[in-house]
Amino acid sequence: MSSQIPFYKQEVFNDYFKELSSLSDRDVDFDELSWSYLSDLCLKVLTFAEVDKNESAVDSIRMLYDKLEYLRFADAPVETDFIELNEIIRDQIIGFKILLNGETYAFNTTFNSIVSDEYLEHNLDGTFRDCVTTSIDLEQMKSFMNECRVVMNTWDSLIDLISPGPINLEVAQELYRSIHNLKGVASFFSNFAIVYVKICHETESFFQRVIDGRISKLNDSQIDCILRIHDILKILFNNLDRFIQGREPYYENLNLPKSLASIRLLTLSQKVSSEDILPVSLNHLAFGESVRVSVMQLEELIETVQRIKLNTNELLGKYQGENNLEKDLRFLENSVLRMQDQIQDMRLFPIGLLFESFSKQVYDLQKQLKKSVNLEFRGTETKVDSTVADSVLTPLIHLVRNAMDHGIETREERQKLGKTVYGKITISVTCRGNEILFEVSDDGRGIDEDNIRKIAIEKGLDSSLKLKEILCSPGFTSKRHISDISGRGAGMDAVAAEVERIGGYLEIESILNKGCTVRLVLPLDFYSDDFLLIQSNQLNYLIPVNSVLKVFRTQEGFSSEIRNLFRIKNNTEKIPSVSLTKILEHPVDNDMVSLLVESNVKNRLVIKVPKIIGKQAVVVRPFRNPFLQRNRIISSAATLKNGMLAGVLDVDTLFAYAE
Amino acid sequence: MLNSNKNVNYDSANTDRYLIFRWQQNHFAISINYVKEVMEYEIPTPLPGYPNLLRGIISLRGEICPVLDLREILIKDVKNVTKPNKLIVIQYQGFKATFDVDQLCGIDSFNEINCSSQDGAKISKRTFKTDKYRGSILSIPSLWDFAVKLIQQ
Repeated sequence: MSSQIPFYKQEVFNDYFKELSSLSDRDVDFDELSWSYLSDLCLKVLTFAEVDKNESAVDSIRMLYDKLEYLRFADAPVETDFIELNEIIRDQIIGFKILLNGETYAFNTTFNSIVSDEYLEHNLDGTFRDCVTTSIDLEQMKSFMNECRVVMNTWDSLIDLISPGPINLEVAQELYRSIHNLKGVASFFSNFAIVYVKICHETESFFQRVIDGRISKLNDSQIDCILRIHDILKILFNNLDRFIQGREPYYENLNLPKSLASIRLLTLSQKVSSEDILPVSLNHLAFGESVRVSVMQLEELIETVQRIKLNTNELLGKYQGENNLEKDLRFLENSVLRMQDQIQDMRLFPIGLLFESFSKQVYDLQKQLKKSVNLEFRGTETKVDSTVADSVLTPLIHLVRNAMDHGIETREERQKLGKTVYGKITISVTCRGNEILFEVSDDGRGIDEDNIRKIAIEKGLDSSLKLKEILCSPGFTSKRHISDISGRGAGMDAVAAEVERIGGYLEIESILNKGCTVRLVLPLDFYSDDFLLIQSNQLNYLIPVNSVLKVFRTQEGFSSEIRNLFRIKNNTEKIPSVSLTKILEHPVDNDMVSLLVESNVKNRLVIKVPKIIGKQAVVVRPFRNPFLQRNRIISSAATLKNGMLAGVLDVDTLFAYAE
Repeated sequence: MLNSNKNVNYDSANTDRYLIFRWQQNHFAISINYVKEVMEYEIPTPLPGYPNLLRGIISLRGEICPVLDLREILIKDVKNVTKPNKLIVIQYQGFKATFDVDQLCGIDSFNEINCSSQDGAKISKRTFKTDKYRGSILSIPSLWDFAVKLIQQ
């Protein structure tokens, strides 16, 4: 079932560009307000920009935005020489020149009609005025509304408990959880719910700081702002509700850009000291109130649950056919199973929290080494066993320090090599079959193998050793001098030893002057992540949400299909495609929906599927059993909330079917 | 009583208690040392690209467990299975697998065991006889290895 939802005209987008350009005529003092203002403008451009349309242009602005956000997060001192800010917008050419702490950074790029009416799908003031239309699935919108209602009920019941003074942590956690859930659902329906994502994101950041203990008391203006968020959400929900019912929306001007900025200021209003950010022990990264439970106790609890399940099974066998009793026992069985998943979930730790500590460390290293680096994280939503997270922290710190010290060149060197002044370090986590991969990669100088071998011989090492073995030899270092950061030769040796201790291994890939990637590959018993639930032939399949770039209706999303190569509307790129029903050898189905997915190595593929059910966070169990090693299309599975099993599709393997 | 024969290559478990079950008209027995549990039949979730020998997977209290159709290996003319009755969960080398049977006949010690040397396969080298049943004793290690090879081919 489909209906019409209004979208904005291009003029709105142009207005923001004009606003950006007018900044060049003003004196901008970089206090918090203007910082937030610039960041906000970038966000608006990013909101309206369509990635597929002009990736490099959007990337440049995103880089600026990330930089601003990163520095804000790292509580970087905003020096007064950050004064020159010029935006040049002529004939759709935009550039940023920024003088930051004595250095000039330029972001120049071309916007060749980056937006068209079809991409101006957002409605920033929530009133649906001055709009063009496109179609959207009304059923999807209704399910989004259901989630909104749950969140509003939570907020309605708790908002009165928020008052100036010390914060009730339980209330803050509940508000945080509800807003986090809403953000998750809203990002899935990004074409019409982007405004919710933005509001939720800012609100979430605020409550995260409350839960972390960085904000312990609320003042009157903060209370006002929280009440304002409540009002905005209420009006947005009511408007959507009225829209679904075919009624006129309320025409209250919400002035969302201003509201977003004030929510952000709300977060800034109590500054974070560096001591608050630095601790990297997992104990400090845990949210809110918690109790410590040993892994052994959790294992015992799981065993007890398993015994209950066994007893339930015996009873089921005994009372088979006795309808009512059997039904009750089945219900009990499902509850026990859910309880087991919940207990296992207690052991899982969100990797994003582990990564947070790196921003500050890299910022400090930048200053120390006089290098400039953009730090990127990928796969932050993944949750892994806390023992795994605990084990990888120290090796990852070593690898990031190595990348900063050995990999990334100084600004001058990079300029001479024709590279961007800012180096790039990416820390990512991905799952490959029954392994989890923690990866630190940089775009620096790479490893000079000849030089490494020369040093190895000087140090009396066997020159026939493989490069990885030389680098991980005890005491080996390519540095002539010991510094605070590296040079003692204890880094890679310790990394390899720690990874081997937990049954994993190291992979190193390097291209001279292009960069280096070090991968910690660890065995994995289970992990948790967000997935899109797909149905084909009445069977359930999961695909990781973080690999899905877009969801289209197959009929609407493509402008041409020639020999399984798709060209997405308004995009010149031809993308290979596969049909899930064909791969799974299911009876021919009508592949109504298409997913644009991206592999680990940035290849893109369109997967046509019959039906998407929704998004679910599940605990995934990779296959270790020898009977389940025939292929990798599905190499892990998860139990869904309804108790059914779903196979997890391996995106990288699906690429092989397109070739 | 188990009639031991020193020339026969026994299961490593070398036990005198066996679980007896039926597929169509054929009876089989496996050493209870490999049996983890017996459960009601559950419809498995099929996996793409696997031979018929693997019916699919089930969640065994959270653990993903394969469901095998061993009739594919052990019965010559496999008829359509209308309603499998039970799932037998076996464990070998630290891994679990399940297979369905038409009927569970019970646990017994055998009056008579013979080595059927005409059968070249190691999987069912011996036969058994009780007051009620007569059939083949399956060697779980041999059957396991054979099935793994078939699936991974």
